[in-house]
This record gives sequence, structure tokens and C-alpha cells, in this order.
Amino acid sequence: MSRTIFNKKSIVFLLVGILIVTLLVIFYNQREGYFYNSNKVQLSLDKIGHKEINLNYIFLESTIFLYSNNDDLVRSISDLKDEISKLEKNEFFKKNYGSLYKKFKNDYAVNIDKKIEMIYEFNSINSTIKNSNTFLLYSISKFPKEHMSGENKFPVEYIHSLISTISNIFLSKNSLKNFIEKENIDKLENFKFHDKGQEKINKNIVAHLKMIYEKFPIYKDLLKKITHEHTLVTLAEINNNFFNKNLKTLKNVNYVFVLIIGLVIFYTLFVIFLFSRIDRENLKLKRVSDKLKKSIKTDILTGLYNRYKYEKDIEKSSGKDVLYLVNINKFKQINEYYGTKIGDLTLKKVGEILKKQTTSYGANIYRLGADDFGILISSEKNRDLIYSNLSRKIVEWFENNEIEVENLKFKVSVCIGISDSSPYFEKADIALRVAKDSHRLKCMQYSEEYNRAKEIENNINKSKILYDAIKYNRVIPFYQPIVNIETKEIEKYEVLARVLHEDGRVETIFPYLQIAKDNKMYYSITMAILKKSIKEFSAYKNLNFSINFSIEDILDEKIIAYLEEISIKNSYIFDKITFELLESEAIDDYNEIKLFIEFVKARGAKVAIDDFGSGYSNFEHLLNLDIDFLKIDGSLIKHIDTDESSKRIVSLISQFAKESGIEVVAEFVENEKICQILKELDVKYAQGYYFFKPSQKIF
Amino acid sequence: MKKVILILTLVGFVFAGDLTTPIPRKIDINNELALAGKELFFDKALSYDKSLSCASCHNPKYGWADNRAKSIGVKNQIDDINTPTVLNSIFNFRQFWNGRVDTLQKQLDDTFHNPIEMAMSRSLIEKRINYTSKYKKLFNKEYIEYKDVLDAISEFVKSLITPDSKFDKFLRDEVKLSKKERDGYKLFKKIGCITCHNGINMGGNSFQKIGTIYKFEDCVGDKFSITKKEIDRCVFKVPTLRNIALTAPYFHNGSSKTLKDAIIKMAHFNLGFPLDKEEVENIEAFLKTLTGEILYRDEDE
Repeated sequence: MSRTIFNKKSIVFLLVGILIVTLLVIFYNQREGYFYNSNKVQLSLDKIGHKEINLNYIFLESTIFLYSNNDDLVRSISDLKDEISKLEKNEFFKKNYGSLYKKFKNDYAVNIDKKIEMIYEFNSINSTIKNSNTFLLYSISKFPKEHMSGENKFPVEYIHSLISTISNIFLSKNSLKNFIEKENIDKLENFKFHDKGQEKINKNIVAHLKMIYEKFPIYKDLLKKITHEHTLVTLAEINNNFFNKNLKTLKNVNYVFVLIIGLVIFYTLFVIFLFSRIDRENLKLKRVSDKLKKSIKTDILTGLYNRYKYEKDIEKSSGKDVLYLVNINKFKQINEYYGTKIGDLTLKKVGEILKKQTTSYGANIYRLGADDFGILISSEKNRDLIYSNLSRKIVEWFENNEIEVENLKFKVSVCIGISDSSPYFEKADIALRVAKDSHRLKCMQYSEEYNRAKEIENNINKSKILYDAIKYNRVIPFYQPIVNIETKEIEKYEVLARVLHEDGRVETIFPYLQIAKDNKMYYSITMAILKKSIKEFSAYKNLNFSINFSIEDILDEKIIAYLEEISIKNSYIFDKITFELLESEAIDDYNEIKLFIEFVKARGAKVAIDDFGSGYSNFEHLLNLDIDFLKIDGSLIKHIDTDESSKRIVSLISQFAKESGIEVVAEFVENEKICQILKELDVKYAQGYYFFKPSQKIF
Repeated sequence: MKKVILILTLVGFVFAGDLTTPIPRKIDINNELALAGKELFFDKALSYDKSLSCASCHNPKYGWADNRAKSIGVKNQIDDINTPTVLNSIFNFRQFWNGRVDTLQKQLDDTFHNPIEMAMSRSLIEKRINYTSKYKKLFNKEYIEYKDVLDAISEFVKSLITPDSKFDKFLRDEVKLSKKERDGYKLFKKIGCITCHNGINMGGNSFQKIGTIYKFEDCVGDKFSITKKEIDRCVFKVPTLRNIALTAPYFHNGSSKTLKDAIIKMAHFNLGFPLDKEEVENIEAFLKTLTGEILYRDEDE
């Protein structure tokens, strides 16, 4: 979402940037074009000025010099006219400087044409006057030697008048003031000569003088007009105005240019600002994301790595790691006893301790469950040493030290499961369970034997089978005869519970007992067997049977209620029953057992202790119980023919029983030899494959 | 004393640079265009009744001018002015006697449209020119416009320059003038001919009045006839003196049949004094040195 907005934004920025740059480029080109064109006009105006000045110079030259090459004048005129027509054709000038263009064309160019016309007119007159001047000078230069001596000399008066007139002409020409006197010319014209030659000379001279007299005012006038022509002033005005206007435009153009440049700079700064802001935001985001990442990896309570981080690390594992799964024993009790706050602090403390204890190993510490800590060590060196060292170190620390939480000091014990192969956690957990179950071991390295996974699977299977069996009434009694060793006669039958599979296969109930206990199915089994065997044996007047009863059964009120009901309905049946109490289970409350024994015995039943000698057999307790039989545990009987200590124990039990007035029954009698030994040891009853296998039917 | 100062002053300001320059040996010409122009120049189809070509009046035989005082136009009409030579006309600052136009093209346009001269129209010229394939080939063009005709003839006329006259060679220090010629040239300068007849064309670069000292009566076709300004009466473009020996008769009205006569008349009317016989001969001798080599060779005829 934010990304798309950013992209849109950046596109807008890009477009605006491109727009500004395009604007700048266009403006720059326009500006350049404008300057180029205006410079061209300026240059042209300057050139025209120079060419007119050049024309003036050449014109003045032609007036001063007696002889001049008119080609020069013509050339300078055509140069000027070419330059003017060039500017007249300049569209830029025409378009952008309309008023100046008009002034140039209608004022300057027109007056230049007039000036040129005047120059040509002046040139005509000037040529004539120049030639006449030459003639007159030439004429008077002849006077001293040709006309002032000899017979045909001119009169002095004439000469005086002539020289005066010619002098005036030169004076006039040089001063541009008219000093020529008409009377003088008339006087000369009217001079009477006797000599025809003289008359002829005078005639020509007078013709020249008259011509000069006539043309001089025009000459003077034209020269004045040409030299005082305003064209150069006009041009200077145009040039000035153009320059000023151009300067003004230039200023404006520069303002706009500076503005655009400013815009570019501003925009650049703005973009830089945006970038830095994005950077800052990115930094912030990075911090947040770092925190998040850390929080993903970290257990909030203990500050250790969490399960997630563990999974990640394990994914990267080389397969040569070691995981120590550390569990706090009876943590639940700490929680219940001190409250969850202390519980939490305890966890924290334990985490800290673990961390401290493992620093030298380069270990990662995780909190993997409620009170489960993981220590993952990637070291490949001295693996065996590490396991034992580290786990011992941890366990010992907790054994030797108290932890202090909120001024409370108490001991915490831990249990450690160790695994060095995948799946680490599951294996370490199994090892941990094994250690826990043992009650004695504080740490345990996983071994394939403890594959709890299979066990769990088995358990599930078993509970399913058992459930079905109970449901479909396939928990059935099998009967194994108990024989009097002496007489070899069947004294009674032990009722054994069997599971009848769907396929007709019969299996002993033992594998299912724990499941039954865990899943509240024990009652159903006991009831099924009890009911069926009671029913079965009701039919035989002389046949007795014994039935296994666990502590759970004894404590089960419904069973007790059932037994009571039976005793009322069918009181004789109790005479047939022996309740075999399983000795192997830890008997915590002997009172309950005592009460039960009293209960059944009052109704005529007998009581046996099953599997005697296998587990917690406590002779003293047993003595307090009013029992009829002791059933020696099969493990003692099985090897009695080879194992001397078994034989001794059995002998001891037998002796003890006899002294206490209790009959002894041996199980697992599998051969003649065992039977013989038992007989020697004064064991009265026996059961086992040597005599009979358990069967569905009563013999 | 006054006199001496005046003379000194004059002597001080006699010459301003070169008063004349030789005709160049070569001039930049578009040869193809000039060749087409040459064809056109001699083509009688360019006159209304197909009686005249340019060459009818600008006759190569007579120095590319007319030997008649006044030329004859279409339908035998007599023109009112003498035909000037087209030789070196590119160096004239204006065209026609009264200098009413400034380019050869305009001169041509004027002449074509003159009812007494060619009496043509733009469209008629284009029609006639495009009638045959001759000009299409020469111009390398599908349709020849009036402007092309003017440009071509102008280009041809432009090529008609006359370098290497004896005088030009003298100016370039290649030959020496004879005594007569030299004296003539000195006189030409001294008495003021050169005041008007100067520059590359020895004339053709200013307007001057004929009959400045003594009135010249016949001023037909003068500048006044165009401008109607009193000052322009009898004012003409100064004619060139180049090849002057070839282009008789002289003056705008063809009133002088010989060069000598023209020299005498000019001395009288414009210089205001007579020349003696020797002086006239000297000037004539000098003027004859102004005849140059005509680059155009009339090979076809």
C-alpha cells in the first residue's frame, strides 16, 4: 500500500522535474535565439552606422579633393543600401520592435535615400564647380605672361575685377558663405574689348563665373543639407532605443531565468529533503523491524531466544549440534506455592543461570516451553566431554545453590535431556521424560531405546483396541488352573483378562493396563471380567477362582457397590472368590486395603497378594493385612532352577508365609525342575505352563 | 599672396587615390546561364513582331551599340535616344541614359515592355521561349519563366567585359603610351574630363549635366523626364569611355558622328573653353587606348 503511494509520488516528482527541466531547456533556447537575433539587429544597426559614416567620409573626400573616383562613392552608397535592405528584411526586428522598425524604415531609410539623391545632385554641381575652378585658376595663371604684357594685354581694371571675383569664389567655397557679387560678374561681362581673342576669353570666363554664381547657392545648400542630415542622429536614436529596450527585455529574461534556476534549485533541495526524510523513515522502520525481528526471536519473559528462533537455528543446523533440554522439576508446585509472579521470576533467574553457566561454550539459550529451556551448542569438539561436563555442571549448580527471587531463597532442581541428532527437541524431550520417570537420574542422553514416539503411537493404537474391545464386549476371561503341587489336582482357577481381537486373535491384557488406567477404562475391564467369571463359576459348585484386583479397583466405589450387590444376591459366590491384590503397585494407603480385605472376607472371600517379591513388598505391612495367600512373583520363580538367590528369596517367603499361616502360590512354573524345587521349598500351590496354559474354558 | 595660398591649397588636394582602375580579366559567371543568355540575346523571337533581337541595337559590329543616332524599334518605330553599349555595363552604377534602374534585369524588363523597343509582355515572352525545346535544353528546365530569361540575358551581358585595353596595360605598367596618348591622358586629367569620366568604366558612376557652361539644347530622355526636378534638367548618367572608339555616334541623341567632334563639344559645353587641334588629337589618341579585348567571340556567325 505505502509502496504504491510512494511510486505514484515518485512518478509525479519525476514528471514535475522533467517539466521544469524541459521548461528550462525551452526557455534557454528561446533566450539564446532571442539574444542571437537581437545581437544580429544590434550588429546590423552598428554596421549601418559605420557605413553611413564611411559614406560621409567618402563624400567629404570628394568635396575636398579636386579629383576623386566616383566608384568609391557609388560603392559606399551601395554598401549602405545593402545593409539597410538587409535589416528591412529582418523579421525578428519587424516583429519584436515594431515601432523602431517603422522609424527605421519610414524615417531613416527614406531619409538615407533622400540623402543619397542629394549626394548625387551635389556631385553633379560639385564636378562642374571643381572644373570651373580649375579653369579659372588656369586662366588667371596665364595672365602674367600672356595677357599682361605685349599688345594684347588686358586692362588692369579688368584683371583686378577678375581676380577679386575669383578670390571671392574661393573664399565663398571655403567658407560656404556667398561673397560672389553679381555686379562684378556683370561688370566683367560688359567689359569692352577691342581684341576678339580677349573677348572670347572673357566670354568663357564670364560663362564660368555665371555658372558658379548660379550654382553656388545650390551647392552651399546641398552641402549643408547633406552634412546636417539627421539620419545619423535618427539611427543613433534607433540604436539607443533598441539597446534600452533590449536591455529591458534582457533584464526580464534574466529575471525569469533566475526564477527558473531558483525553481530548479528549490526543487532539487525539495527532492533532497524528501530523500532524507525517506531515509529517516527507513531508519525508523529499520529500528522497528529490528525490534520486531528481535521480539520474534526473543522470549519476552526471560529475554532468551524463543521457540521460533530455535526452529530457525535448527533449520540451519549442521546436524552436529547438541541440545540440552533443561526442565525445572515440580515447577508447577513453585507456581502454586509462591504464585505465578515468583514463578515467572524463577524462570527468568534460571534462564540467567543457564546463560552464565554456558558462556564458555558459545551456546544459544532458548526458552522452549513453560519450564523447558534449551541449550544448543554447535561445537563439534569433545562432544562427549561437553555433554557430561555441562549437564553435570548445571545439575550440580542447582544442587549446591539456592536461587534468590524477591528476597526468597529456595532450591530448584532441574532435569536435563540431551540429544545430539535430529529431531533434537523431540529426542531430548524423550530423554528428559525418561530421566524424570526414573526419579533418580538428573540427566539423560537420548538413546534409541527411549523412542517414546513409537510408544505414543502404540499407546494410541492400544487405547483404540482396548476401547473397541470394551465396547464390543471382547474383553474376555481366560482361566488358568492353579494346581496343588503335592496332589497335582486343580485347586482353583486364576481368571486372566484377555483381549479378543476382531480377527479372533487373543492377547493378554497386560499391555493395555496402563492405557486403561490412564484412560479411565480400568473399571470396565474389571467389571467385564468380574461379571463374566462370576457367571461362569456360578455354574460349578466345586470350582473356585481367583481374580486380580488393583488398587484402583479397591478404591472404585462402583466396584465395591457391585460386589455388595452380588453378596446380597448370591452370597455363596464369595466363598469361591480369591481377590488377588497386585503387590507391585505402590500401596500408599494401607487402610483402604485393610478395609477392602475386611469387606470381602466378611462375605466369605479369600485374599491373595499377587506378584509378591517384585516391587515394594513390605513384610511389616503385609503382616498387618489379613491375607490368605501369597503369590510369589514370576520373576523369582522363572529362574529358580538356575539362580540361587531367587531360590533363597522364595524359600524365605515360603518360610515366612508358613509361619504366618499363609499359603504360597508360585507362578510361571514352566518345567518339572522348578516344580520339584518348589515342592522342596514347601510351596503348596503352583500354576504355569508346566501344568496348564490359560484357556477360555474351564477343565 | 592670396593667389599663391589658393594654388597651394588646390595642389594639396588634387588627387584622392586612384582615379581609375583596369577592367578585370575575369569575372564570375554562370557559364550555362550565360550561354542560354547568349542565345536569347540574338533571338528575334523576343520582339513583338520578331523583327529585332537585343543584338539588333546592341550590335557586336558597332561595339555592341548602335551605329545609328537613334535606334529603330518594333514596327519600324524610331526610338528617342541613342543606344549605349552593353560592353562593361555591369560596371555602371545605373542603367539607361538617365539611370532610372540599377540592375541589368530591370533594364531588360524595361526594354522588353517598351512599346517602341521590344513591345513584349511577360506572358508572350514565356510563350515564345517555351514554344521550342531549344531553351528547355539550354536551361535544363521544363518551363522557362520570364525571370529565367532576364537572369540569363543579364548573365550574358555581365560576361561582356573588355579587359586588356592598352590603357589598362599601361595602368598595370605592362606597356607604355605613345607621346600623343600620354599627352592626351595628361590633358584629360588636367582640364577636368576625369572629374566625371573616372572609375573602372571611365564614367558610368555619376549623374552629370550636359552643357554646364553653355546650354546643350537637346536633352531628351534626361533625368528630369523621370524626376521632374528642375535640378535634373539635362542630367544624364555619365557614359563610359571604354571602347569609345567603337561606339559612334556619340551622346544621348547621337549628335556627334566622330570622336573628335564629341571631344570638341564636351570641351565647349561642359568645360567652357575651346581646345586646339593638337589637344583634340591627343585626347582622341588617348581615348582610343580605351578599346579593350572583347571576351565574346562571335564564332557562330
